Amino acid sequence: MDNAAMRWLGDGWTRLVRFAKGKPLGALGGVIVIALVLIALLAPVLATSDPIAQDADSILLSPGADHWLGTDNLGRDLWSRIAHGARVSLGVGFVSIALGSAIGGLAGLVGGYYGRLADAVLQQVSDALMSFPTLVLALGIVAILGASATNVVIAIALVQAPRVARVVRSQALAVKSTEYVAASRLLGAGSVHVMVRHVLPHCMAPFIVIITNALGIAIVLEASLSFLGLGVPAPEPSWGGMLAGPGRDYFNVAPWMAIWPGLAIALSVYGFNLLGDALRDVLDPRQRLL
Amino acid sequence: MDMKVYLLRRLLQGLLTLFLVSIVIFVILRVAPGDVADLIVSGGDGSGLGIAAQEKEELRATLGLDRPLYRQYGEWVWDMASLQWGESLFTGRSVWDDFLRKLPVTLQLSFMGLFIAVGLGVPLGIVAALKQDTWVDYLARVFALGGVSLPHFWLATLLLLAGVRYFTWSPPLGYESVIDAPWRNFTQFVWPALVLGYSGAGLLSRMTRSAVLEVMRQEYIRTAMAKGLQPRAIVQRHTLRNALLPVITVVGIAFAALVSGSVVLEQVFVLPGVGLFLLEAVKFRDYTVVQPIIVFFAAWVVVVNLTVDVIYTWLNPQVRHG
Repeated sequence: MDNAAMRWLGDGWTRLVRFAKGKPLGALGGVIVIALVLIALLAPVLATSDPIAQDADSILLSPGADHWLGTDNLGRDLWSRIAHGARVSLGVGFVSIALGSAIGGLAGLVGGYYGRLADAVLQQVSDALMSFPTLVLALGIVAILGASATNVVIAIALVQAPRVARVVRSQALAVKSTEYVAASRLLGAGSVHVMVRHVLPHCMAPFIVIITNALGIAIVLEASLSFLGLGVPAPEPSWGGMLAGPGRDYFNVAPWMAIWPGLAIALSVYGFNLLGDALRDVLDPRQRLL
Repeated sequence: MDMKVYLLRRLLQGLLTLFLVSIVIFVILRVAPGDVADLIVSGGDGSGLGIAAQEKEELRATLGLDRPLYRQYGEWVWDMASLQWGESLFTGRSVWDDFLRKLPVTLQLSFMGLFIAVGLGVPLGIVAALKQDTWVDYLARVFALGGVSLPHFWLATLLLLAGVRYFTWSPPLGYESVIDAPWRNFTQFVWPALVLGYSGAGLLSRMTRSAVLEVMRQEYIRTAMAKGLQPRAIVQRHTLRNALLPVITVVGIAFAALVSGSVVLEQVFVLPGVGLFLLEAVKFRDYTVVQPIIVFFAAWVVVVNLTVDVIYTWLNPQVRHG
């Protein structure tokens, strides 16, 4: 490894340590998020059995050596289902936020940079989209497209896009009137160059903050839709779905069925929120009110 | 700016938003592959391909789908606005009548939730800010973040579960109106309202805390301290008076979140409100119900935000006196 790369790595490490010391709760959030990503990626390895396979001989077993988190009313291993459920939750979360921030980011960039009519139209449309209660808009979209993982992704992306657009827009507005942008234009830079090289990098800090929080919201939305029976269809193991359906009748005799999936949702959202709060304090002090 | 001009502009803006909301819903309903008639006929999963083409055409004509888009939109908006919401495709009952019967449930749940959220969240946020970076602040923040992070349906599930397991108690599910059986009505609503209120309180206390902190950094607070005012007087006369204005706006935002929560909680606690109405309609793909109910929820949020803005303007001397 050459010197520059070493220094860069060392720098990053120092910063990470400083972040963890200054924001212990944020660091905790970071650890939760990393653990979650690892569980999702390694689910096939970590799972002790098939998350969908039913086993009539091991119905409603309490947590123990064979089944760490117990089994459900169909004899499915809850740990394996939780681990695979992490794939669903995070998968839906990441893809929908990627899609949502691509749409919202582009709209915000164009609106903030060009201003005038484009801005007015985009602002009004995002205002309109934001006046829907998130779950109601998602329900409406699922009502039309049908309940599937893909459609949940589309619904969440549309719900989150205007929120991203708003943040990127305000940043683009601020950057476009700076002197270095004027200088760049005088040197003959075109709009696309200015947007990509100057405006976009300035949006990164608030952008990272908002997508961290948005991921938490996406996980709750996916879980809510699946809980309502309108998200990822059974028998696919989704955390929200595990808390719904015929299994509910067994919660009384097997409370672990109700506790683990909910804990998984709560802990992940908690992790993303803690991390998002700390990142906001560090990266973007002005956004504190949001 | 003159307050009247401002309010008028705000009102027009609210109407514009409503107009765009209606376009969004209209577009969402029309971008579906095929059209609503296809979806109804196929049952959503393509299973009903055997239905005669003629039957589908008839359905299309009844639903007005054979007319040009702008006319469809115009008629649709007119129907929504003049409360001619038609009949449910599934039950055949008047959507407006059903809606009216279910509305009090949702209103009661939302307002009870909002009441708890404001009563708990705002004081908590103020205390957390005034005691910033002490254990009081930490506890308050952990509590608040829990409200934001714990999903409603899980809290509600745990509540029901704990009641049955440890106290052999279960909250009375179902609904009786406040006039017929006030006490029973209260016991039915108080649990979902508490769950709803807790999550709202989480959101509100976080925002209140930042609003108060923001004000505490202002120069007039430093001036007040420098001239030797009692801390108590500073907090009461300067900090809170200025911080609570933005909090009013936040109540509007929290209210939209409460609406989402009430949909889920109506399902868990079997409260026959507008949220449950929507859910059932979505499950049965009952479009004549889904459309007006979604419009209603969006319009409700727009109206609440408008009201909040009016109150804000009225209370804020900077805007009032121009």
